[in-house]
Amino acid sequence: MGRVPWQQYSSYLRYTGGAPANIQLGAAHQQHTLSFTICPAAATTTVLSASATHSPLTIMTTIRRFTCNDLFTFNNVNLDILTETYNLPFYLQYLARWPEYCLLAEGPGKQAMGYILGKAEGKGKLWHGHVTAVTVAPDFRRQALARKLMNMLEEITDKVHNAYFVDLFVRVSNSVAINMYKGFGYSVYRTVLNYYAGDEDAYDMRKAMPRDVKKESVIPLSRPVRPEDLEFD
Amino acid sequence: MSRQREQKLAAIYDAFDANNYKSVIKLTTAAIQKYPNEHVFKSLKAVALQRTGKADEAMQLVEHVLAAAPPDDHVLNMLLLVLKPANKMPALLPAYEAACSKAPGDEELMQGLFGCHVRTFNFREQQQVAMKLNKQHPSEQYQWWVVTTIALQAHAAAAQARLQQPTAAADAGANGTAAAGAGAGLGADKLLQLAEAMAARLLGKQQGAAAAAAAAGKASPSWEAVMLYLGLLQAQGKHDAALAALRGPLAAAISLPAERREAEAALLLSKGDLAAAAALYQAAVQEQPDDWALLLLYLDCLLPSTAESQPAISSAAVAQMLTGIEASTLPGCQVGGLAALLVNMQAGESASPSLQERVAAAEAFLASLPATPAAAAAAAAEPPNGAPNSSCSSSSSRAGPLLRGPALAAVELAKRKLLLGLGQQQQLAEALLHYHERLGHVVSCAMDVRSYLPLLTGDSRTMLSRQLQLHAEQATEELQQQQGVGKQQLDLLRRQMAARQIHADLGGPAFDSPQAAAQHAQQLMALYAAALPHYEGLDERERGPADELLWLAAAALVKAAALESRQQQQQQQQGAASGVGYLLQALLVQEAAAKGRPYCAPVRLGLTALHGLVGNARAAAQHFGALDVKHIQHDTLSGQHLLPLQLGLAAADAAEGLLRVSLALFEDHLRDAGDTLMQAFRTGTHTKVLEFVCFKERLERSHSFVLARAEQQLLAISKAAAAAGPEQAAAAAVAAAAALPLSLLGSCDWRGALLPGHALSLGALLVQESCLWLLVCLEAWSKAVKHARSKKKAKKQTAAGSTAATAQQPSDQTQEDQAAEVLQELASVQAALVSCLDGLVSSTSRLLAVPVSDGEANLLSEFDPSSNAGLQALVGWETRLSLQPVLVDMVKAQRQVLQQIYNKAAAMTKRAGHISWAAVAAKPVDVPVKSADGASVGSEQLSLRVAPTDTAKGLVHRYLVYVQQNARRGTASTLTRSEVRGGGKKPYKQKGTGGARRGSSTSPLFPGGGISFGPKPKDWSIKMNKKERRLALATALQSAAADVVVVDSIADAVQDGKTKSLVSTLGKVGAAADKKTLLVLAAADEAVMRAGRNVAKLAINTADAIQVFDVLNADTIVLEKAALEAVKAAYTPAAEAAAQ
Repeated sequence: MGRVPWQQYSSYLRYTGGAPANIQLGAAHQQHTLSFTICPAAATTTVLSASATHSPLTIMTTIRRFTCNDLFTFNNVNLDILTETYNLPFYLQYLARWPEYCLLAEGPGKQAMGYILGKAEGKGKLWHGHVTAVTVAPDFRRQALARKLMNMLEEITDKVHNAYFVDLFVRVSNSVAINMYKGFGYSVYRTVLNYYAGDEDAYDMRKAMPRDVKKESVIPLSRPVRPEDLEFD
Repeated sequence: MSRQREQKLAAIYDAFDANNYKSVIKLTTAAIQKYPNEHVFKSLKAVALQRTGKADEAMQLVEHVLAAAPPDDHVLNMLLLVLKPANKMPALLPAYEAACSKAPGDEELMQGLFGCHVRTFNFREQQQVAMKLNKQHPSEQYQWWVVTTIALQAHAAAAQARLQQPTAAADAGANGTAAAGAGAGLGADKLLQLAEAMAARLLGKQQGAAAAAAAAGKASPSWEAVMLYLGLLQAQGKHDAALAALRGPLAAAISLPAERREAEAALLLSKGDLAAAAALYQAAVQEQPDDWALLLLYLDCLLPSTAESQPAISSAAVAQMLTGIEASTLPGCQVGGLAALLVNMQAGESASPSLQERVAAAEAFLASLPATPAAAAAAAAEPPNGAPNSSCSSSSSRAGPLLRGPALAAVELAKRKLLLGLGQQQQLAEALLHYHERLGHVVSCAMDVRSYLPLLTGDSRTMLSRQLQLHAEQATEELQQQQGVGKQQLDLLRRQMAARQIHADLGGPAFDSPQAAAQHAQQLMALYAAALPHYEGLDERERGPADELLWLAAAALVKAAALESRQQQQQQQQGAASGVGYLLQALLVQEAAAKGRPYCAPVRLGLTALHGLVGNARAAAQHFGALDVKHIQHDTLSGQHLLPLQLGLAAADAAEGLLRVSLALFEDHLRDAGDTLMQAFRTGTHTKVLEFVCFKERLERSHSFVLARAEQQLLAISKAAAAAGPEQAAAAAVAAAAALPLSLLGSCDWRGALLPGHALSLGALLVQESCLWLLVCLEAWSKAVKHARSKKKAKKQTAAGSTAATAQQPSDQTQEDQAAEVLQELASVQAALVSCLDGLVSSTSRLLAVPVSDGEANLLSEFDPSSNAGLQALVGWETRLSLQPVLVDMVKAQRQVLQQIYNKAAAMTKRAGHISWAAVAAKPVDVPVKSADGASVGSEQLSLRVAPTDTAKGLVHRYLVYVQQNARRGTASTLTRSEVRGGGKKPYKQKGTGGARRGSSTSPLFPGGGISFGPKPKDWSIKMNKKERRLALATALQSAAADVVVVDSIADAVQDGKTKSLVSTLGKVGAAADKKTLLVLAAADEAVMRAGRNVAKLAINTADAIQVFDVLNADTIVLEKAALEAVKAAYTPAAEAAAQ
């Protein structure tokens, strides 16, 4: 479960002012960038319960785009201990840059039932969708809502962005979530050492999209990597 | 540029990457010396300084770079990193403007300039810069920027128009000028038209290009662009055009067919073509039977007078943001709001099918919906989403998983019928019961039905309660009979939980005695204990299947406590229990729950409240802290749960921390909002630009924000009061108290929304209680002081008249001493009071200057019932239940309070200004009076008006410097080498003499040469205020009082003009010739002057021209009696007051 230390987030965002992750200081010096991030800009917050074996009920919900005003009403989801509340620029940055990837499931009485935040990034064969946070309120679990949200994200990754794969980061200790992702067709691609605060490692899990016909993107790496070696934040 | 420079830069960036700011500073300092004109190094150094906490130095560098305004976007943009934390972002704008004029046509600089305007939310300037950008570098992106900025102006103009619209007929002229002053050059309508035309042209161009080069695979218009365009159309009420556009060429932008259909239905709905919209929604629901919002919209279309939803599709939201909120208040600028829709419906009622028919149609359709996912899958002919259809048979009637949507739709329909008067509450209750029977085992069952429960009253409510209780007990029995922890048992447990939770939501169960309630709680806890096997293997961070029992039991115990305390009130004489015991039990139950289920949020919130009830703020904060609430949640959670509690329990230190983080949320967003907005501009998410602006406006109006600010200032007051002594505290408290409502009222924008209640009540309290009280006290004291003084004067006069003038009592003196200090304090309190009242008058008068109707209209428009579920249920979009009178009353009431504050403050300002304190006199000192032969003939008192002790020394010094410096003639003058005569000839030859090379004999190195930096005539005079000079002299005299001797008359004793007689006279009165003496004569006397002019250490002044140097220099000051009188007449407070 991704819990990025928010101080590092905020320092990162304050430094870059919510602009692209790096500030470039001159056309001639584009290779030298100021980056003040120690920690990856987006880690996965995964909160769900749905065990893969449980028969899914349907979720009776509307999945719609996440809006700013939802920040005022998502407490029943975010009070959950595994759901991280990020600072405002973080949410607004996602809304501004990947509005199609930020989805909210709304239930009766306009309650927020769960949401997913994601993004698309990468170059060439690494062009992929990334799951930043997916979470479901405790009151609405065991209804396969996470599956539906993840399906939506994969569909957008495939249809809108035509990317090669979807990836996400998850704590190695979070076996419930890992099993669930495996149930969704994700596999462990590599281990990232000390990715989380508190020195916990992360699994980088991936699922190939139809564009990656040979499924090259999910062939596991044999050795773990360090956070600073990641291609993207 | 040079390779070396590049290498330096690279090293600096590397150091930055390593977070090694010290080395950055070192490197940049060196680089700046080498390349003093390269601003990039300076800004890099500034950033590093800022990061190492040297904000001041960083700011100096930044100002330096700003002044130079280098035409380099990267350098300027980097400055933002220093300016933003210092909250000085506006300083960047002039630098960008200057840089842009230096390098016209630089695209990045122009973008930076655009960013500056984005950060200040100045839409008009944004538009102009965007237009310039497009002119210089034509691109579609910039054109969309122009469209978006025009739309933002329309948004602002609509807000403006909402204020002015009601008064437009009455005083169009006044408002018209106001609008022009506010910069809303064009009306909202015009702006919308303009934006629409531009967007249409852009889209048209794209379509043309797309049609022409379809094979080339050019991208169709973006989703954002289409939504913005449709929103613009909708905001103007051009629904037909929007519909045509959507059905026509723009369709391709919305890639998903379902989404396209929903957009179309939403447009039809806003247009008022309900039948068509209903058909579309019906089709959509058939495809996705569990999409709840679609179902609600379908019902809205069929039964519009019960309408409550709004299409989620964004163009409607865009239109809403553009025009303000609801159409009902905006006849000139229709949005397809539901209120407008109602009007349409009533007009076309006869043509459309009757209500009953439509209800029947809805019923039939809902009945036809598939009940299970399998059926749904079959009906929609979609592949099943891989769900194994495992058994879920808790009883024979429930054979498989059920769709929640269609099941809850029956409840929804019953509710609509009830609202329309076609159904009974009983039917709704039955529908709810049925829902529980079918889906009680779903975790969210209670949450699903919660919003329907308030509609039930009376019999139906009790019926439902009873039935649910039966359900719960039945499930409990069944559960007890079965063994094990399988799926079946879990379902039964869930079913029971749902029944109990809904029952509790209905207000049940009712108890007649505290004991019964406590017993119920015990039963619940026993059930929890029995359910514990289900918790095995459950992650403690997950919600458990019987967690509800934990807070239901606590609720029962709190009820028991309430019952008991009520009983106690009724029978006071018997020593009945107070209920505290039950309350503590509830607390313990919850504490235990928190131990067992440490991550259960409802338990933590319950504990926060319970600890608040028993007055334990620390524990409450601990439990709340476990929830790890942060950022935006401070607005929605802390402000509601913990903050009031901490403030109520006077846990000031804890509250302070909470206030700080809450305020940080708002203030940080105010700083960051511009950047995220700019990001939305750059990524072309046009609708998000609008959304972010609305979001910022909403956060600025946040109740928590106002609350936090008010409370923080109140805390500051109490802190100041605690730190300072009583007198300073009074002044500090007045000053701080003044700052609070002033800043609140001052920041209030009457046009923005309702005034915050805090500001009003604080303002009223301040003026009616504190200020009035202080004013009355000050007046009373002032009177007392004056009275005492006049009495003393009379006494003194009589004493002077009597022959035996004796020394005052020492106690009198200390009293006088204290009095002087107290008077000073009082004067500062008075000053604080006056400034506070002035502030109140100015801020209230500014607020009152806004016309009444503006406030009302604005409230109506700002009030958005869709954001408030409770109110929405109450009002139900019922036109008969108009909000207007309620809101108008509120505005009127607020205005009355404001007017009261204004009137009182204005009256009190006058009164406070009139309070006068006699000037502060020094502690009286006795000076001996002697006759010319040295015999003591009594004493006089010297008590001049002096400066406060902390400034006296400086004041006198300043005066002395003033006198001495002004005495300088400033005629010192030397010749420079050019002025010295001669020097034209080379003194000796350049080479061969063995001496230094010499070119001119007037060189400063030559004897007789010029002087390098010698004095030149200059004016040394400085200024000092006359009153200051008077005060300084008086202070000097008073400070020398110990050395003063008063002599009846010197002039009489030195009639002969002989030095010898003067010296002997002075010696007799105590001024020996070897001591420095100042003699002050009453008037100039030639004989004395002549006698004294050759005495070395004697200075002679006249009373009207006492020299401060002489006063300070003298060891002894001899005053003639008449001179003393003259000094007193000039420098005592009473005399000065009389002179004024």
